Amino acid sequence: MPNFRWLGRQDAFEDAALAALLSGPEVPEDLASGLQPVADVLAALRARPAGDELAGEALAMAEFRERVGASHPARATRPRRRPALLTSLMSAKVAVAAAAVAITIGGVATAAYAGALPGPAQSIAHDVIGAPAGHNHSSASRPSAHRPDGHLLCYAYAYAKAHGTAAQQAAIYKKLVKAAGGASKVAAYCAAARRPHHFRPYGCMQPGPHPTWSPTPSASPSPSPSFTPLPRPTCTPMPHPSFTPRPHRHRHHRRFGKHFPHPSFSPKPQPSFTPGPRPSAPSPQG
Amino acid sequence: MIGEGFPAVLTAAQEGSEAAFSQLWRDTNPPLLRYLRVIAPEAAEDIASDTWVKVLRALTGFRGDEQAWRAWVFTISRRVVIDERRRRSRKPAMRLGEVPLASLPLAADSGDEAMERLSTKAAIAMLAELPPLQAEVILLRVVAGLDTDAVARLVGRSPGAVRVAAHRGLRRLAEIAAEAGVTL
Repeated sequence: MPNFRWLGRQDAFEDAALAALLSGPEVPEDLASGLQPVADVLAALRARPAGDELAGEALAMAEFRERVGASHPARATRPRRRPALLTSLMSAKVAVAAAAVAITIGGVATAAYAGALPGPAQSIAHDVIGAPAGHNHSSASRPSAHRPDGHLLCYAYAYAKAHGTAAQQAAIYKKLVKAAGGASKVAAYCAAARRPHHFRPYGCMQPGPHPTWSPTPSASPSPSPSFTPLPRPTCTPMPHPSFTPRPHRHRHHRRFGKHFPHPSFSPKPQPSFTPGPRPSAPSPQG
Repeated sequence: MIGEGFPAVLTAAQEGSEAAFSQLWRDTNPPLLRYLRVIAPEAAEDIASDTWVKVLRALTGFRGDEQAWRAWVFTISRRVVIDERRRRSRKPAMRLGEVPLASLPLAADSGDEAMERLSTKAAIAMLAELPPLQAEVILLRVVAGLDTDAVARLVGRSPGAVRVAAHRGLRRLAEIAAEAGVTL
């Protein structure tokens, strides 16, 4: 190693060389040998992202969908502060997602995959199980069935485990793994679904008895040959649900027994959603 | 950095495109995490999440090029860090020498990706040994990709002071590397 006793002098290394190192990834050709480790350090800082640096994407995407994803030209006139709707609508979405899974397991899967379900149900089947988007999925004037976010896959998986076939479990588990970013991350992903503290929780969002979702060790089988999950669709803007309660500050939120609108705000009626016929017993065929 | 395509990606994300926002996030979050791991190591992921919540709240109103975007995101993040420090009532000093170099895990698994990860962790550990301003300035120049003027605005010093701090930091890094005998 070179002798570094003279490093105490401020001008030991040329300012130009240091400026070059700071400016860009290219290393100057005539770099002093004592600066080579510094160039290595900077190159390591500039290295491509590692897996754990991209792990939070599902959460960020869910937040994006709530705040920005369902954009509409009228958005420009909306108040700038947008609360996270995820928690306030959680109970409604859980019901919708559960209904969607029930539809599938109840044997309407063929209809879902053929894109033949009524609009809102089709869009939810589209999101949760990858069925094709309905023909009016892109209609901006259609009243919105709130797009469920990825965390609902945890609930859907729990439902499938309880009532579905292995093939259905596998299908949903596969989507869950994709949303979580890896089989080893599913645990943390679904744990976050229980306490989405990044979304300014309302007291009313806590669901009752939480379905267990733990993936069984054998629950990563190859999908059945007849099932082909569709590629993730490109986002089509949907009108944002009209009911937006005021946000509570994170440290001062109060727990409400049920959903409680701000006094100055009059909510419009929720769009109606009619799920398909509920099966009375799990159907043997998928 | 996204480069030339940035304005289109930004506009698409502001209009609701998930693919576009995913690209923005994947391009910006890793640098943000690396920055936070040095200046707020005890809460880096939480601060990053809070940063993105704030960014998303104001995303549709943002106007600017890629440099402005990075400066904006990192400015928001810095404010979250300061708020977090106040809330925790801790000394507003960076954890110097937080990860002693000797304790860095040797990569049991080989492979380029593992070595890269180790290198990045080692680099972050070395930066944590610098005085706070020097480390922050180097991170904002190198990891956030901001130019000297943008960094100066962000940290509230003159461009000259930023340049001096950055250069001093790099020289100190050379000393640290020599002492540690590190080859990355």
